[in-house]
Amino acid sequence: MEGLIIHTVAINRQGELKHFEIPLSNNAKFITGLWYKVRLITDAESGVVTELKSRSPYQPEVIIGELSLSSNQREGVFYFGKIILDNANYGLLDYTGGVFRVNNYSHAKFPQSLKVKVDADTAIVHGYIHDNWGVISGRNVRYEIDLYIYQQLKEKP
Amino acid sequence: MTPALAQEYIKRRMHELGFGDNYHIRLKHFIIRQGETRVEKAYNSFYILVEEPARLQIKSQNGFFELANTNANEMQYEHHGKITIRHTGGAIARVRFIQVIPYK
Repeated sequence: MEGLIIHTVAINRQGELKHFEIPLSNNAKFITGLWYKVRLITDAESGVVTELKSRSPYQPEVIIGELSLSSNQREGVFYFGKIILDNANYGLLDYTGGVFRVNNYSHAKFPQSLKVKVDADTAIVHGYIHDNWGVISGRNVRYEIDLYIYQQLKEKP
Repeated sequence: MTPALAQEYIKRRMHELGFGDNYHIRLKHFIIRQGETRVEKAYNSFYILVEEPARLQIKSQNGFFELANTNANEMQYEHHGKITIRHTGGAIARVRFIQVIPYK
């Protein structure tokens, strides 16, 4: 049996650091997947950076923040990485594919949930988001990040 | 966090993590000069802050600690993994940690 928890974190200020806690279900056995979605609340035409211009056809991805997720028990930090805005150029002009396989979490937002297997022996998942979108835009940017935590639940006896 | 509270916290935290009483502790007193950034690699250990240092920013995968930061809603006393200690300006800063090294 699978369960899904959607937790929304709102960021309002430039460079804001927000800690949060996500309570897991009582009968959670494993955390099996992660995914996130970003929703901009500030008007996108009022100076908020939504793409980075470059001379080459390749446009670097917009990193809007840093995300850390950790379990309080033995697993510790199980996800630490950048939150990346949708990148239309995902995979373009990337010559490393033959040698270094492209990972969803290294170049762009993951198109589907990132598979993980974390023992859910913890009551809560603790995490933080450190804003970078406001920093590169030079102003306060209001946005919400929906964090999707997929969990495998224990079957009822 | 006072040293006494830190010791009690460490004892309970190590039990919570499943290490029981199997850990060593070391005292760490860092002196950070103006403009200095120090990186501590604590992938197999935990650093517990036993004071609230001024003029320093401490960052790790677990979170941040910076008294001057008005943009944060919480500070972390427990740090793990790559820990970056950055001087944020002013006189020489000092910070004390208890390093906890668990073993099996």
